Amino acid sequence: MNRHLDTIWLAVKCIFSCASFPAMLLAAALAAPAGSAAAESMAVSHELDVELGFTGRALTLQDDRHLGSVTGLDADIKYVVSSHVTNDLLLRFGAEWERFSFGRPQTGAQPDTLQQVSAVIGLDYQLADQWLMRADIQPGLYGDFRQVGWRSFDAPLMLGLVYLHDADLQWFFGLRVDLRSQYPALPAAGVRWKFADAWTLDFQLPRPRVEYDVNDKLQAYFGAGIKAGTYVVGDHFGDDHGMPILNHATVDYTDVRVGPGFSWKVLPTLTLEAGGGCMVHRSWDFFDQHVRLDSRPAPYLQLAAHARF
Amino acid sequence: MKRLSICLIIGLCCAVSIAAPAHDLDPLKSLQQVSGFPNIDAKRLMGGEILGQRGPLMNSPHGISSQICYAVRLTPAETVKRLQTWEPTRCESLKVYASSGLQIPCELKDFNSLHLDPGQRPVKWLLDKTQAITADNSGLNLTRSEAHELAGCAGKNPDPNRVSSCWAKLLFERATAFQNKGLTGVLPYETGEEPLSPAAQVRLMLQEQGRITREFAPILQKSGLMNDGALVSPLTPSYNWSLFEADRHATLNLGAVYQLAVGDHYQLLDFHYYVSGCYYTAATLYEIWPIRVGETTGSLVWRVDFLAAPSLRYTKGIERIAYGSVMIQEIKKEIRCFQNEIRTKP
Repeated sequence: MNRHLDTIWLAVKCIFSCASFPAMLLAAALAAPAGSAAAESMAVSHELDVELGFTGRALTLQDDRHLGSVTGLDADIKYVVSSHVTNDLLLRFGAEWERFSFGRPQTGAQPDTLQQVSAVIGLDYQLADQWLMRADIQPGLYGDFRQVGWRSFDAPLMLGLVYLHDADLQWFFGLRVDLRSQYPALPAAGVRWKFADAWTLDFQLPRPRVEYDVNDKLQAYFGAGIKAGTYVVGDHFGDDHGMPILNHATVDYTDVRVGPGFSWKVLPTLTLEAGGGCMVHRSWDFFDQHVRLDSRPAPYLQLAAHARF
Repeated sequence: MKRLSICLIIGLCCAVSIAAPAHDLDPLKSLQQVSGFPNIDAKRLMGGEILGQRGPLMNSPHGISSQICYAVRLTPAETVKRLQTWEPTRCESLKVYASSGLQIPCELKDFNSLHLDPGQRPVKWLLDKTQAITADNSGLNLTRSEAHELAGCAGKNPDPNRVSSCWAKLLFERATAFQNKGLTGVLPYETGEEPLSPAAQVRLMLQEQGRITREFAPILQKSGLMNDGALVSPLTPSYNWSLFEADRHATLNLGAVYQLAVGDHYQLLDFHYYVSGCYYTAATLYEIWPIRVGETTGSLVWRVDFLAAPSLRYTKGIERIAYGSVMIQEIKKEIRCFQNEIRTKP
């Protein structure tokens, strides 16, 4: 019999990455689904993702006014444990910390830091023979962390559906809901199509790619990476930047990167990635105040580690 | 069923005594009683519907299972025969490069059609792996002695004909041992972290599905699987080998198909007692009942597939669920090929 045993990257990847939350929740999560055979190692799985990126000097403009060159450093750590509750249902608990820091120009309304600390609470469910669903909510703090208060609290929701056509073709549908964002509901669709022995079109947000299997352990890819989030800056952010209107304002941050990279399966449970290329778009959009900053293209480098155990 | 299936079963001795299969009930009731399908519509099955269901999460780290139910418009006896004789190489989507039965006793010439064509990327992978074999580490399912022998035979000679003949010899020796000694003749794979027996893997999976093991106790007992393979089976299986694509890699396997009439229906067991790589073993159990829907007669086929693969150890959570679902889709693809062949050559 023909057995396609492809590694299935079906983690119904959430439509954009999100944030996370306190360690005590994580500890609670680890202990939570005790009734679902927690003692059985196969019933519990762990995901740990670590990413680090650097963006070179990018000319940045605020409403067409040059502010100067801005560099960027971003880090993201996400840990999720999931446990089978029934044969079709898994609960997910975890935490995420993500931080963007930027070289700050002398003038302008660009934040020097945006970060999130959030919990991950969600579920995976098999809706039908070929349909899988993921729902994750990430309640936590999203802001510049100069002042942390209730205004920083947010809880974006990610919904994902996967249609498993067969081992070579899967369709993805997603919806990101963040009521604070300029775009409170953002739908997306994607596909993973292994169209040749060594080639895969993995068109899933936030990392659409074309992948080439060099061998069993090494993969080369060319694709994009989208990082986005909605944050609230501090109560005095506007005062500090000469624009009081921006005090405790909400900002949508987006950056889009395009370039090649390599993915190396060091162990069956661990994959390392390195990529680089061009950041083609970066914006800080204080949409309520109609203040927007954009960066011109700049080079970037990115490293990542993904563990599944 | 040459390539038709994945697995086999190993029964647990303890389960046999409780075996009270639903033999004399209405086929649909029998199936509902023993399978995981809550609703079975015979009319729709006769119309071509294929039902599939993932098996439960197993403690066995390498194991996964599924159940499938379908119908064909043939008598059970004819269905059994066709399952064993249909030619999967004719169905392109199954990517079976070569498949052939084996004589009893088998001969080296039974593997004459084994030709590893480096022009096919999955086959080139197997050729490269074979060239890179060492006694301690091959990434293929071999004993140390086989690894040593294969390394010596193929050496650094890239001639695919040479490598093909080396593999043919290895398969011939394994098939002969199985024909002579049954499960006790199956050598464990020794090139991984620890020795691994295909039969033991199937037994582990069966241990976790008592209801299925009890239902198939008759054939599991008579195939020798339920007594740890200590006895040579009183059944004479049909033997086969094949070269096909699994996980984008060319894979060689040796299989044995047992059949047993149980009252008015049949049980079959297709066991992959040797697989060159990508997965460890597979076993498929079939139960085939006569069925009548209105004026139409046919066979109701229930198959339970077990698969043990190294990659499953690291496939957990939603990925494992997805894996099970994809496995069902792939099996359905195979069944559709089988049904199409029946339609075109009734």
